[in-house]
Amino acid sequence: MPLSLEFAKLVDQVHTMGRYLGHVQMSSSNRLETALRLFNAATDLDEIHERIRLVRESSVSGYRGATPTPRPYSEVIAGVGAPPMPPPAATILAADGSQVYPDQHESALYYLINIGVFVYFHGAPRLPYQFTHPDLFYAEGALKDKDGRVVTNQTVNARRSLVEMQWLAREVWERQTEARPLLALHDGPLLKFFGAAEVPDAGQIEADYMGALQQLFDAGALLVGYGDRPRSTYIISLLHLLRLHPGEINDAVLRNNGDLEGLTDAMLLAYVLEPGERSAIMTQNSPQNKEYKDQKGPDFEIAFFYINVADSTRPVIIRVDLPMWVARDPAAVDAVHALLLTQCGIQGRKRYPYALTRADEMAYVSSVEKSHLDEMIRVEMLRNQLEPELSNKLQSKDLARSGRTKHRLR
Amino acid sequence: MGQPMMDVQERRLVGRVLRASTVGFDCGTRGSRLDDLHTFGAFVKTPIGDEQQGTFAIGLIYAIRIDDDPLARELVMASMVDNNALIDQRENRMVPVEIGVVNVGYGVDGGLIQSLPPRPPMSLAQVELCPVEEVYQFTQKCDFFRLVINAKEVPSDELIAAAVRYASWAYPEAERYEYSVRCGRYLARLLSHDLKRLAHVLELIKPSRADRQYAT
Repeated sequence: MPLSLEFAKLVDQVHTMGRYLGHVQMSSSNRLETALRLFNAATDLDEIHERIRLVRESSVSGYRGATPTPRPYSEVIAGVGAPPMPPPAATILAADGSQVYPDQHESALYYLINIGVFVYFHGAPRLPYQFTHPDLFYAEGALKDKDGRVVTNQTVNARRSLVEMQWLAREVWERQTEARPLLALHDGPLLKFFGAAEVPDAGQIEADYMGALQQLFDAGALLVGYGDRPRSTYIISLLHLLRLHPGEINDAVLRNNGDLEGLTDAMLLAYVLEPGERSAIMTQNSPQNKEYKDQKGPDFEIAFFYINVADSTRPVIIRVDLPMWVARDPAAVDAVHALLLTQCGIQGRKRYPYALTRADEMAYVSSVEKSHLDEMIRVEMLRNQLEPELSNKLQSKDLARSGRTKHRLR
Repeated sequence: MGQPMMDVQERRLVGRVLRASTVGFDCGTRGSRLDDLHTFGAFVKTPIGDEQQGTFAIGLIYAIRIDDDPLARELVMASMVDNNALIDQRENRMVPVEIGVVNVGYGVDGGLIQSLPPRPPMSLAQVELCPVEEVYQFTQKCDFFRLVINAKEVPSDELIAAAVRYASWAYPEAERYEYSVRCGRYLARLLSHDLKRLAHVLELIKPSRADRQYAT
């Protein structure tokens, strides 16, 4: 049977793609020089605060770039933080989730959320703690929206994000007597967009999410949202804003980053941060962040900084989201910074926190495991006098794919 | 055989069968359980067919494999292996250990036979070390050497030598020397066509000075 992806027809396209990517890289180097110049000049915090005040007070609403953290916690934008010493002891908790989306072609309609929790005892020779929590959703109420349509993958993602944060909060709450600081690691940003239009229970999810943040705050946890390979442009947008004359500032010019468009914060900071260093702490100017602050108080505004977690000359820039209850405490920021570097050092070349790697590993549901689950469900249906049957579409796909062999020239 | 699980655990479980044939089988266990039970050349046994019938295969451990995975490879690349990650790998991640066993006999109706078993063990059957008395009884004859010599993909010379050394500990000290000499004589007949190989194996099973002194 022939392969359906005919690589011969892709060769030219891949060549063209390579040339395109090379061109993009070349053309960004000039923009990068400009950005670096602007970045290094961004040392006057008063001027920056004034500029932010302008975009917040005027009729302008489209600025989504970085702002310094509120006074007196503001840090100079162009400043960098050296890698601090890690605390002698700490408890590092990570929660991650994965899912099986509802599939109308399977014999039964369901979706699954599997959460992995991993606890690492920094500074103590202790066996890490781990557990998983799988939840199967099959009742109409969970599977259908109010119009009777099957919930979308986006809805499942939103519910999974919530459960991840709830398990993290629960685990932190139960481990308050462990060595402090309690570093709570979440994979991804802390500012969540649950998609009110597409997700039927978005309002409730949002409220419950804020409830989990409150629990983490009450437990005194150092909550962190870890962003690997960030593509955010908050600092680039700030630099764009800073070089505009006050009279030029309007939504139209803020819609993109002018001639800095195409650059990301990570591209810029790769030339600024030495291995182990962090950027200044900033917040993102967005309605979402304002809502967090307005709804729960200034402690719940989300700040961020970047770290170069590399141990060599090739930079690896990651973004760290953290709530203001952590960001305003220099000792807490130092602990977050140092512990993340320590965690990223465990896996050698793969610069990623060990605790998150293990939480993800436990949460991940492989296709083999999904097949086993489907089989279990089919057996259970038979036991209950139900006829499990795959859709004709799925059956014919399985038939076509099952005997497929790749033939290669030797 | 056919004894409750607690008994098997007390007798120290080597692992459980993963795949099998009449020639041999592989069994698996967790990396954290790897200890002196898992010794190259050790005599192990596992039930074949209905445990109540009491039939079991007897084999020699000829390979112990620990597979890697991408995470383990990354940890190895770190300049220093983190201690907690190390115990996490060994205790929590259940690094699988595979133990290769070549069959050399079987037990049926209370007797021990040095030939391939009539059936392979089933998946997940418990594999345990043969008790000392059984090793002693089984090694009264050396016919199983031929099975090992002819086994494919097995380091047969080293395996025979390791099995002889292992079995000698099942003998009273006064009998060890004589047992080693008996094995040597049998090997001399078996490998008479290949003197270099014979010399190598005899060197490997040469009794210690203590055994020799005790025997005299």
